[in-house]
This record gives sequence, C-alpha cells and structure tokens, in this order.
Amino acid sequence: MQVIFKVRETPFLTVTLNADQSQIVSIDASDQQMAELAFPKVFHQPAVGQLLLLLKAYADLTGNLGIRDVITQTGGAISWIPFKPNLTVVFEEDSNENFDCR
Amino acid sequence: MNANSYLNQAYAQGTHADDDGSLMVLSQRPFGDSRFKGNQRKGMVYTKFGDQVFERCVKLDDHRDRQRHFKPEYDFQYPSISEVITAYLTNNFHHEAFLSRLSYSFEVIQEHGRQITGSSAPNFLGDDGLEVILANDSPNPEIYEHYAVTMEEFAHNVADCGDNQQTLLHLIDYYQRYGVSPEHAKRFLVQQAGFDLLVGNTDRKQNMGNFVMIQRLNGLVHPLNFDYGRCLPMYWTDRINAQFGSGKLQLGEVELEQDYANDVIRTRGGIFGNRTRFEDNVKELLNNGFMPFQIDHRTLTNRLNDLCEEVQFKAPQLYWYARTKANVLLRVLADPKTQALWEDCSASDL
Repeated sequence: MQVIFKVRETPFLTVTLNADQSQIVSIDASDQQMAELAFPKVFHQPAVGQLLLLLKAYADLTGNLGIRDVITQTGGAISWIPFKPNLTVVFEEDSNENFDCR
Repeated sequence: MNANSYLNQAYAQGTHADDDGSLMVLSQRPFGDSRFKGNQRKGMVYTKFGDQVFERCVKLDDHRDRQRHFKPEYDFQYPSISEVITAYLTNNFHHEAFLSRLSYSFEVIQEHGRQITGSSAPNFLGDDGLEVILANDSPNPEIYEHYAVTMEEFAHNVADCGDNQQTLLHLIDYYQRYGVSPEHAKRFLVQQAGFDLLVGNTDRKQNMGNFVMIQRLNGLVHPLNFDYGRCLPMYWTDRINAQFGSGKLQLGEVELEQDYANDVIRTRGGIFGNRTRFEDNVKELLNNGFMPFQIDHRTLTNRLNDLCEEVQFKAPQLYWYARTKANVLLRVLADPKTQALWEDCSASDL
C-alpha cells in the first residue's frame, strides 16, 4: 500500500505501508521541505497512527477508522483539501496486494 | 489525469461562485474553512466557463468565529477596503520592487441570501506550490502544520524585539530555515519593511501568520508579501460616516485627511518601526539596501478613482470611507517624510 502526496497531479512524497498497514516501511521524498509541509512528522520516526490522523484531517473524517476505511470513504483519493490548496493524496495498492487483508 | 483534473475535482467538491460583475453569489455549499489562519472567514471558490474552472481565494468582512464580532471601527468591520486600496498601490509598483503583487478585488458576496463585503484574489500558490507559514501561533501545532520556528522564538526575537537590526537578522535566520538564501531573505524583508512603514501596516510584527512563503515543486521557496487588511489605519465609525451623510463633513477635507495621513506615518508599521522617529527607521532601511519603490503615481491615482467608483456602485455605504482612505494614501505618498521610500515613474507628459 502506498500513500502518495501530490501537488495537484505531481507526486513528491510516497509513504509505503506493509501489507496489513500496521507499519511504515519506506518513505520516498523528492523534496524534503515539500514532504514536511504535507506530512510534518514524516522524517521524525512517523507512526501509522500519525499518518492516519493526518489523513482523517485531510479527508474531514472522524471516528475510529483504519487506513482501509479512509480509502473506502474517499474513493481512493483525497482530491481536494479545503484548507490546503493544491495538496492531494492518492492511495495505491501494491501490484501483489489486491485484496483486503485487514 | 489531465491537467485540469485538480480544478475539476475542486469544482465538484467546493463552493461555486457566480459573478455578474456587481455581485458574487456563492452556491449553497458551505463556504470557507476555519483551519485557514486569520480572523476573517476565507476559502476558495470555483467558477466554470465552458470546460475551464477558475479558482479564487475569497476573504469575507466577517469573523470566522460566528460567536465573535469585529470592533465597530470600519477598519475592523471592512478590512477589504484597506486590502484593495493597498493592493492597487502594489499593483503600481514597478516590477522590480522585489515584492509579490497579489491583486485583490473588492467584492460584494451573497451567501445564503445575505450580502457581505470582502475581497478576492487568485490562488497565490499558483499550480505548483504549497503555503509555508513562518511560525506557529499556538504551542500545540495541528497534525497537518509544519513550522521551523517556534512561537517563543518569534515572540522574543520579532514581536517583542525593539531593535530594527536585530529583528531583521533573526528573520533572515528564520527564512533560511525554510530554504531561502540569506541574500534573498534580506532583500525581501527590507523591501517588505519599507512597504509596511509606508502604509502603516499594523499586522506584521506581531503576527507570525503574516510571514508567508510559497514552496514550489522545483525546490525554490518564494517569500510572499500579502494580507493588506490592516494597512492605512484610519479611525472611522458609523458616527463619522453619518456626518458625511448629513453633509457635516465633506469629501476632500484637507485637515481631516492630513490628520489621517499623519496617523498612518505615526503608526510606524512593520518590522522597521522600532525607532520613535519615522525618518530614523527609513534611514536604517536605506542602510540595509532598501530600494525606493518605483510607483506609477498617475496610473495609481486613476485606478484609485476607478476603485472608489466601483465601491460606490457595489456598496455605496462604504464610499466616503473608501474615498477618504484612497485620498489618505495619496497624502501619505505626498508627505515629505515618505519621499525616501518611493519615486514616481509615471510616464511624463508629451
């Protein structure tokens, strides 16, 4: 599972999660400052819980949700964030991970 | 994804605005987002012409917290007037002013049947930028907020600092933390300090949210001069407005306008206002490489006349206030104390 942060259509930060979305396994940022603007804790030993809180804020979601719930409720992308102009988030499955393993 | 997919998505989810030139009518969707910084309600609005979606940032003359209200003075009730008049000044800076020029327009906005004045501007981030705010205004940043400067640092070294030079040095350091070179930061900050001094901006030195940059995808960071809602401070109330309505006061009263112009100069707005004498602050600015603004004064005067006519048409109750404020700006520019801050680059008569 990859969480890809973009400025409009251009990606600049990819956060890869393990199969059950319990851990962040890698972070790939083309621009460190841009990455921190989108995900402030990204270079400070981020935990999935922090990522989840961030995504819920961006998607205007509340309640006890997992990453899968966020993906379901957003249709696979947070394509407009009213208080963060230009920032978008897209969720992509790994090619070998095409089932719900939660 | 095609190039317009972001704007199409924004249009699909955001507030729509229909503008016939005199009134901007918002759709029924909720407008604005309280997570934007600042006291005014603000948000993005979207308009579609054919296949194209246009985006504007709208600020209402309305408190973002519905339980609170602005002070009764017009400068607080109608910051859009100061914002737009000051924007007309920056729009007439020569392009080498080293300050961004954000074009604010005066608007009357209808939301759920209620008409509110405000201003609108293009999305200053362009299509490849994210907003950077210098420092946090609360001890506990939200999970989506990133700051390289703490509230305490800003308070101690900028807001409460009584020395122009020290304030400048600290701010250069802070801009560097976001990737702005010290030369770029100094040049921008010195020009911005001259701008704030000229227009008596009361909303910079104490407001960390008004030091803003744009982080672009190409890795560059651009400092941005924006938010003019507390420029050209002028004490104006319903009582004063009524005196114009009754004819007790007339537009163009020299003494009144000059008093207001003196108040703007006395304000010593911005980060270079620490010395008691306005001229001493200007001298320090010049010692730091300030370059006087090249202003097309003739075009500015004409455009301010156009703006006041627009206000008279759209919101006639604000006409005397807007006209007087525009005149005050021209009197500030004519004052001997401000002459070192600007030069007239109007085309000469042939």
